[in-house]
Amino acid sequence: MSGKADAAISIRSVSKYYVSGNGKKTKALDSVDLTVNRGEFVSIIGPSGCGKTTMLKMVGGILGWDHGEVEVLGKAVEGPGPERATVFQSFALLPWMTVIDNVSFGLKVRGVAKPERYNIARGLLKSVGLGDFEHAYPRQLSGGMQQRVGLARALAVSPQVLLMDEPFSAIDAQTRLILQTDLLDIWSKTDLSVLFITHAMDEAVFLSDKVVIMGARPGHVTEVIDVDLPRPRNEATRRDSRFVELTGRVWDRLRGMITDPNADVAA
Amino acid sequence: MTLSLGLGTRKYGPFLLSLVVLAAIWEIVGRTANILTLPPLSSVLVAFGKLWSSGAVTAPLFDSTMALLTGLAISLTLGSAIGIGMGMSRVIDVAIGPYVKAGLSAPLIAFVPVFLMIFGIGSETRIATVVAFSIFIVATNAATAMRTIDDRLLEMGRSFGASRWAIFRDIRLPAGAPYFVAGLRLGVARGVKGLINGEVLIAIIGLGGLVKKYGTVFSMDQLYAVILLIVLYASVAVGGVTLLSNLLVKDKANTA
Amino acid sequence: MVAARPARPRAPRWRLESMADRRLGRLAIRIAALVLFIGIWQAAGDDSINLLFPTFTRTVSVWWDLVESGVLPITLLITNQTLFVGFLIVLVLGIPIGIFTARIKLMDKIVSPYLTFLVAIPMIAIIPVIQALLGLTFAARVTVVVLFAIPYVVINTAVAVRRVDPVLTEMAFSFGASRLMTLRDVVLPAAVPGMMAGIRIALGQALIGMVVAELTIVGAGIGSLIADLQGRFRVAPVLAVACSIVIEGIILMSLVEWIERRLGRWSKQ
Repeated sequence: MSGKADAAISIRSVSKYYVSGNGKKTKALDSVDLTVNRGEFVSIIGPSGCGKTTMLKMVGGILGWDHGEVEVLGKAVEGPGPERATVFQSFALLPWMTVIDNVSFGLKVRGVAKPERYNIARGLLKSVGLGDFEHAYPRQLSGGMQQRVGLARALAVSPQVLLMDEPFSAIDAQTRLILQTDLLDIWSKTDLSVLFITHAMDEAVFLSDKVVIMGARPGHVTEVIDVDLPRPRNEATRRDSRFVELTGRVWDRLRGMITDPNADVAA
Repeated sequence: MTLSLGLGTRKYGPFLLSLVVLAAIWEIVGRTANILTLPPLSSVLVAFGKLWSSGAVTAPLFDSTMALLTGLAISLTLGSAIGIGMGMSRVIDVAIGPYVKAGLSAPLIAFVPVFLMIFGIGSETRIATVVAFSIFIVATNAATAMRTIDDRLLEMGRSFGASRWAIFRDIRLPAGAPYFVAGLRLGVARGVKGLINGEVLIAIIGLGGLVKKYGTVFSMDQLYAVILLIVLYASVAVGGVTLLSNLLVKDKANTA
Repeated sequence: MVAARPARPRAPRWRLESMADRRLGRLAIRIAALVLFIGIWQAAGDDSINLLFPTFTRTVSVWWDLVESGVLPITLLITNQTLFVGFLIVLVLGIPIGIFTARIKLMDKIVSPYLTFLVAIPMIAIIPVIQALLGLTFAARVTVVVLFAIPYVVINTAVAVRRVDPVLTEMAFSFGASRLMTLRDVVLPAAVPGMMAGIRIALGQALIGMVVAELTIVGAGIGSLIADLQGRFRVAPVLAVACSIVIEGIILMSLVEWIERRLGRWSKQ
C-alpha cells in the first residue's frame, strides 16, 4: 500500500523495540503516524527519550524498525538514498578536510568529478554566506559557520528531502536566530521537504508548517499543531501575537510531559 | 551467577579457546615432528616443575628481585626529584627537559656494553640498566604531576598566605598523585624489561643468565621453562603494581 | 623603565625564571646546561687507562677516528638494514592487523589479550629461541626488531580506529558511502594521529630491538664491532659507538615526531 501521491515522507503505524544489554526488550516507538507533504516544513518536538532522533534516522535509512511502514516519495525506505540528505547535530564535518572538500563529500561519494563537485560546492558556499571560506578548516570556523557548511554539504547532493537532527542545538542563542531566518530563505527558493528535530519551541513554530509533539515511554505522537503564520517569515513574525500564542500552546502540551508526575504529590 | 559466567565466557571464550588450541597444536607438533627447537608443551611444563622444585631458580629469582628493587628505588627517588624540579621551575625544565625526553625514547640499551665494561659482570650493571629503562618515565610523570595543578587552587593557597612548602605538600602533591602513581606503574613495567635485558646481555647472572645458559646448550625444554618463568615474573610484577596503583588512585578519589 | 604595573611578587628570585619565557633566554639556559653536562663528563672521565670511563674529549676524538676509518659508518649502515627492513614489516603487517582487530569483534577478542601480554613481557627472553630457529642470520635479527615493535603498532592502530567518532561514519553512510569508501575516506584519516603515536612508540622499541639483536645475534654490524672492542678492553670507542646509536635514535624519533605533528595538525584545537 502506497501513501498519498503528494507525501514526501510517510510513516505509518511504526513501532520499534530496543534490546538492552541484559536482554530486556523496551518499546522505543509505539505505532507512530506522521506525514510530511511535498515542500512542507515539519518539526518534531518532544522530551528527551521520546524517539524523535530515532524517527529521523529511520527516515534517513540509518536505523531499522520492527512494525509498520516508512516511505519517502512513495518508495519504501531500505537504506540511505540519493533523494535524502541529513544535517547533523554535532555538524559531523571531517576535520582534516577543507570547507570545500567537506561540502563536496556527498558528491565525491556519488562519483562526481572534482571540477564539477567544486563548482557545485562553491555555489552552495555562496548561498550559505561562506563564499570566502572554501579553503578554511572546520576548526577555524565558529559553530554557526560549521553548521552552515553542514547545511551546504547536505544541499550539494540536491536532495528532495532534508533531514535535520537538532541542527542548531549546539549553537549560541543569537546565532541560532540568524541561522533560522537564513534556513527559511534558502528553503523558500527550493521545493525541499524538511523534517526538523528540535528541543526549542520558538524554533519549531518559527520554521514550520506543522509542529509534531511527541511523548515518551514509549515514543508516540501526542498532537500535531498546524502553524498558520504567513510566509515569508522574518523578525516581525517573532513578535506576532499568533506566534506567541502557538508557542504557548506547544509549551502547554510539553509541560505536562516534562513535569515529574510525582512532583504534584510532593508539592 | 550464570549470567556473569555467561558474559565472562562470551568475552574471554574465544581467547581461551585459542589458547587451548595453541597449546594442543604445540603439544601435538612437539610430539610428532620431533623438532629440536620445539619440545612438546608437556615436557616444558615438567621442566618448569623440576626447575622450580630443584631450587635452581630460587637464588637467581631472589638475586634479580633485589637488583630490580635497588634500581627502582634509585629511579623513583632520583626520577621524582628531577621531575618535581622540572615541574616547579621553568629554568630546570628548559635545561634538562630535552635530555629527559631523549632518554625516554632513545635506545639507551646501547649503553649496556659500556656499563658492563665499567661496572663488570656484577649487579651494578643490571641495576644501571634498570635505572636507564625506568628513571625517565618516572621523571616525566612527576613533572606532569607538578604541572597538572589548577592555577586557581594555587592562587587560593597563596591568598590564604600558605608558604611554598605548604602549597607543595598540601596542594601540588595530592593533586598530582595520579600521575606519580602512573609513573610508578610505568617505571616498574619498564624496569622489569631493563632487568631482563641487562641480565641476558650480561649473560651469566639472574633470570636472564639462565636464558643464556640453557639457550647456548640448546637445552630447549629448560629454556622454555625459564622463559615461562620470566613471563610469569614480569606479569606478576606489572600486574601487582597495576593493582596497587588502582588501589592508590581509587582511594584518593574516594577521599577527595 | 620601571613599569606602572604592579611588580611581580618576589621579583629578584624570579629573574632567572623569567629567562625561560624568552626565546633567547631559553637558548642561553640550554647552552649552559650542555656546557655543564660536558664539563661534568670531562671531569668525571679518566683517560689514564683504557678500562676507565673516558673523558668527553677523548670520546669525541675516538669517535672521529672510528668515523674517519669508515668502520663506524659501515657497521652502522649494516645494523640499520635490520631496523629498516624490520620496521617496514612492522608497518606493513601491524597497521592492517590493527584495523582488522578494531573492525572484527572475534579477532579483537582473540588477538587483544595476546597483545597486552606481549607488551608486558621482556621480549629479549625469547631471543635464544629465535636464534635456534633461524641461526645467526639477518632474518633472525629482523625477527627480533619485528617482535619488539609490532604489538605497539597493532594496539594503537586498533584503539585509534575504534575511537573514530561514530557520527562521522554515520554521516558517510547517510550519503551512501560504501564500507570500503568509509574506511578509506573517513575512518583511516581520522585514525592517523592515534596510529602515528603508535608508530612513534614502536620506533623506540624497534631501536631497542635492533641493539638487542646486534648484541645477541652478532653479525657484521655494530654488534661485532662492540664485541671486538670489548675483547680489547677499550671503553672509549664502545662509548663512542653507543652514543652514535643513541643520537641516531634521537634523530629518528624527532623525525617521526615531526611527521606526527604535521599529519595531526587538524586534530589540535
